[in-house]
Parts: sequence; C-alpha cells; structure tokens
Amino acid sequence: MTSPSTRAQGRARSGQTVTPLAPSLVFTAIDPAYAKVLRLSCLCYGLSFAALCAGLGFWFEQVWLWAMVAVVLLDVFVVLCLATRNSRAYGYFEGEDELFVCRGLMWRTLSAVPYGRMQQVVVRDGPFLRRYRLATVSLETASVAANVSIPGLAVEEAERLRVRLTELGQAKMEGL
Amino acid sequence: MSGLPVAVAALAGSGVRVDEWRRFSRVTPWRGVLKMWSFVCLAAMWFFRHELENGEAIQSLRDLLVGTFASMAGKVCAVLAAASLVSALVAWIAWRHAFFALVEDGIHLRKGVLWKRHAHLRWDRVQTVTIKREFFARLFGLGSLTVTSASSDSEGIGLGLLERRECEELRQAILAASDRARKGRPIALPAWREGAAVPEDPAAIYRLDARRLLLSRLFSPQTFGGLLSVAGSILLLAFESGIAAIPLLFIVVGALWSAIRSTARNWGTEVDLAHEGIRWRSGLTSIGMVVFPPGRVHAIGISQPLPWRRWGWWRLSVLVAGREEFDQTSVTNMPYIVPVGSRGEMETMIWALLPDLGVQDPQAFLEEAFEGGGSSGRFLAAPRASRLVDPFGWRRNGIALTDTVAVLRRGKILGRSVRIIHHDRFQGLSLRSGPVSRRLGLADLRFETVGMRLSIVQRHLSREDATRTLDRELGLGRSVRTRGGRESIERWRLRVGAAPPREDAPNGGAGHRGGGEPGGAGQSGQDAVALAAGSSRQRDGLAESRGDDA
Repeated sequence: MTSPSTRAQGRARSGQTVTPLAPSLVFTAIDPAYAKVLRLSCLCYGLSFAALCAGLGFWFEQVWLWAMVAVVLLDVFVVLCLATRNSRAYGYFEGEDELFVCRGLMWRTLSAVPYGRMQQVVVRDGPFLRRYRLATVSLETASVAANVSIPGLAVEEAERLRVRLTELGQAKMEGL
Repeated sequence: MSGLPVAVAALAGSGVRVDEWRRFSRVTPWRGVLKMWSFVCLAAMWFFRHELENGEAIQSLRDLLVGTFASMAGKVCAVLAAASLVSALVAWIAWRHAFFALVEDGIHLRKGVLWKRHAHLRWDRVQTVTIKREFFARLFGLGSLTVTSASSDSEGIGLGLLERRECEELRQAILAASDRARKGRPIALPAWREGAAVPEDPAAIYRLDARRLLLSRLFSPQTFGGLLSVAGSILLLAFESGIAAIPLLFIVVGALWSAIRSTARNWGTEVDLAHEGIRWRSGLTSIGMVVFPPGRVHAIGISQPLPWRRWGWWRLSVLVAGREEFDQTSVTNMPYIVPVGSRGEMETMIWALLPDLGVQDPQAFLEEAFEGGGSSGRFLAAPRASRLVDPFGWRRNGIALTDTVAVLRRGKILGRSVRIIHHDRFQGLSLRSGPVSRRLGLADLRFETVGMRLSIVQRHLSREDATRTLDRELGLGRSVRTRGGRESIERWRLRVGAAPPREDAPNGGAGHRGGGEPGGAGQSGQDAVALAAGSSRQRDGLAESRGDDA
C-alpha cells in the first residue's frame, strides 16, 4: 500500500474509489454505466417476479402472495435508488503482488488476492452488460470464498486486465 | 485370488499386462447381500415410523404386524429369499468382473459388466489413502481402501474387500510409490505381493480412553440441547397428554442415537507419528484410518465448548487439501482428529503439525493463545467498542502474527477457539464491515482457505488495526512464499522422530504388536510442557519402545 493518502481529499475524484478499509489506496472505479446495467437487470428480474407473484395471487387469492409482491417492489425501488452509489463503491487496485477489490455500501468488503494464487481469470458478459459494452472479470482461486469479480469494466479494459492478470499469475505462480 | 478372469479378453486391451490384474476377496459379494438386507430393515423401520407418526396407536401397529405375518409370512419370506438370491448373484457377477492392478503408471481399477468403468489414478496424483474397516468386513478380518486424488468430482478409487494385512501393505506400497513418483524417481514396484511383514506400530502421541470420551459426550452442547428439548416435551406432555409422548420418544431416541454414533465414531481415537506422516485411527464398529503428511495441513482449529472448561479439555481439527480425508464423518459434523484432549495433548499435536511457531518463547505464547485475553506484546486485541456487538467474547478476541503463522484467538458464548494458519496457505484475505460494525469503527479480517471446513475469521478488530494487520499479513505471506519455508517430510521425520520405514524395521511380526505398545511415549508426551521438551521426550519414548521390540 504505497500510494499517497487520499483521505484528506475527502471524496474521491471521478474514476476513483476509496474505502475506509484501506485508506492509503486509491482504487480505479468501474464504469459508471454499470449502474444502468444494475437498474435494468433489477427491473427486468424484479418486475417479472412481481408479476408472477401477482398472477398467483389472483389465482389462489392468498394474502401472503400479495405481501410478497409488495416486498419485491420495495426491493426493486431500493435497488434502483442505490444503483449509482453501489456501482461507485466498486473499485480495484493492481498492487505489486496482490489484486485488491473493494465493494459494498452497507457491507463494505475489501478483498486481497495474491497473483500467485490465481487459478484462472474469466471474462463474462451478458445481454445487459453487452448493451453498454461492459464485461465482468472474475479471478478464481483454489478457494471458492477467495474468488473476486470486478463487474462493469469497459470491454477493452476487461481484456487488458485479463491479459495482465494471467501474465502476473503465471509469473508468480505458486502451489496451494 | 488366483485363477484368472473370465473377462480376460476385455482386460487385454487396457494397456496393463493381463497377469497384473488381481481380484478382491471372495467375501466381497456377501457384502452386497448384507447391504440388501440392511436396506430392507431400514425400509421397514421407515414404514413403521411413518405409521407411528400418522398417529395410529401401537395397538393397531401390533395388529397390523401380527396380521401381516400370519397371512403372508410364506410369501414375504419367499420374496426376501428370492431377492437375496438375485442380489447375491448380481454381487457375485460384479465381483467376477472387478479387478485392480498396481503398475508403473499408477493404479488401475476395472469394474462393471454392462456399464464398464476403468479408473486410472497416476502415482503422482495420489492424495490420500484411507483404510476402512466396516463392521461386516471386520467379522472376516477384511478391510477396504480408498485412494483419492485432488480432483474435485471423483469419489476416489475404492479397493475392497481385501485381507487386513493386504490393506496395510497396499497402503504402504501406494504411499511409497506416490512419494517416489513425486520426486521423479523410478517407481520401485510394491513388494506387497510377496507378503511382507506387518509394519510396526509407530509412536502414539494421542490416545483416547473410554472414560474421557464418554464424559466429554455427556457434557457436550448437544447433550444440553437434547435435555432442553426433552424438558420442553415433558412440559408439553404435562399440558397436553397422550399424543405429545410420540415426539418425545423420537427426540429421546434421536438424541441417544446421535450420542451413540458420535461415541462409536470417536472410540479409541489414536494419533501416531508414522513414517509417511501423521496417522489417525478411530472407530468402534468400523475403524477409519487416515495418513496425511503434515506438510499438507493448511490450518489448525482448536476449540473448547463451554461445558469442557472445567476439565480444561479441547478438541482439534485440521484443514487438509484434498477431499475425502475423513470419509466416515458427515459434512455437518466437523471431524476432529482429537475429539477431546488436554492442553498438553493439544500442544503435542501442534508440535507434531507445525515445524515452528515463529516466536521466542512458545510456551508463554501458547499459554496466551489458549487462556489469555486483552492486548499484549504478541496479541492484538479487539477494542473496547466491540463489547456492544460481542459481549461475551470481546475480551478474548485477538490476533497474533508470528514469523511463520497467524494465530487467531476467539471467544463466543458457548465456547472459545484458537485458529492457527500458515502465512503461505491463505488463498486470499478480506476485510468486512457491516453497518453496525462501521458505526463502531470495527472490521472483520477473514482468511480464505481451500475447503470450507474451518472458517478463519478474526472478528471485530478496530478498523485501523484490521487494515494494518491485513497489510502485514500480505507482506508475511509474500516473504514466506518466496523463502519457501515449508517443512519437507524428511525434515519432519527427523524433527519428530517418526517411525522408521518398513524396510528398516528389525523383524516384522507378532512380536511388534504386543511389544511395540507405544502408549508410554504418548502418555509421557501429554504433560510435555515446552514443545522442545516434548520433542526430545517423544524421541526418547520411541527409542525405548523400539528397544523393547528388539
């Protein structure tokens, strides 16, 4: 953790993310368009699930199904409101020997994975991500819990990161 | 076992010489029949349990039983006999077509008639070799072997049934061959076929006696839970008589059953220092046995349920890479290689598992890890603010990073624990801080490891401490990884004075079984105070027991 402290600057500048869990690091933020992806997918899945519940509610005339519709709609609303802030909380930092990823608003998390522990790097996209020319880079290790993924990277950046991480993983390869 | 296969033609194309293939014991097919019968019994039990749960009185059940047997006893017997015959035939055919071979390129197993399976495990992929002796197998002096690789989706290669002596020899041969393969030496093919001697018993560093096991099961959290539910049922019975007796019965039977199972599973647990690594054995009705090189241990977990504090008992489990290390224990029940032991025994185990604690004064350090609380020169404690979220454990919570390991000390309502993890074994580190923790300026530090058996988390550190500890741990991991300070099996053998390999054994045979009673070494090791002292004592004890043999 060598970078100068940005804590004094208060808010991070655009394109950067900070987390109180590692005050000395300046993380690269993910693409702001990821908030749109979050909203879109939340709307799509949330609304179709709510519609399903409502349909069943009509059919079976059960109160709890309607309660579920309300809960799902509330959840969708919360996600829509927080999508921008949530996507801003994501960041990654390519350290000398480890990759750092921070995420989360309510439950803040900072993960550090040594490059040598990497088993494989995976780039994924989906219909929503593709629409905004984004992709998700996942870094997989021998421990399921230590796998980290960085969602919402511009496709070029994702590709660069994949190549770079694979290189580093090979250079610093270690056993379990 | 001689007399070669009907299915020789099928074996010919497998790349293994035909005369290398061997059969399993002739008794093997009978296991299938027994399995069928136990299945019938189980099904009957379930059926009647279902009847009971339906609320029908015992009386009607009896009527049903008597009526059924009176009217259809002949038919039922005929059906069961036919089923036995068919399953025996099927099992016999399966046995005729099951072969295994140990050759230069690994272990081969072929089985199946309609659906054939040829499994090939290369020597350098062998992870663990487990000997299992089920109740049925033990009746005939037999056992079976399971050889596993690190592959995540294979259940391993099961070899059995075989004679007990053969199991032991096969295990030795497989471990020796895989060891040689890993070092790139030519595979000297197993001498087990010549019927080599039974290896001598290595030095035991832990042995569980019946009294302690029973007491520990009696004062376990499960017992208290069982008592509570029984009390609840009795209350229920008092208010609403009759029908409530049935769930009560089930709870009592269930609690008893699990207690008996746990007791049987942990019966006579023994941990030895064998030539190939640490050897663990336990079980009453079926004996499980595992050998793992200590170099494959990623982390150690030691814990103490609240009721055990009076006696100062602890239990110990290890995190080992590979899957089927302790196959006789279910996933929900964490397998403890030491189900109950004193502080001294725990320290002996730590000494056997870890080359070095990386501190000046291991004794004082361990004292602090087991019993201590608060901050000190070595341990970084959780701040006072954490008492709000962790009222029972906050004083005990603390983490220490030595030169070689991280030691996490945790306290909870129902017990306390110590976790030890090598600096070069974590796959990743993470910090977490939820909404409440964040208000209080706290964060959790989590070590991600292979396998899910042990969760290694230090909770409620102050945020600054957590960040600093993460940074330090990453640095320590880096330096240990580049230094490559892992202990090789040869160095481990020298350090702990493990049993010599079979070839060096003076004269294998019955004499060893009686004379090689290594209890002395283990018992004296129990109160081994300093780890170093424990080491020398172990070696002396072993020399003694070896002297007896000769």
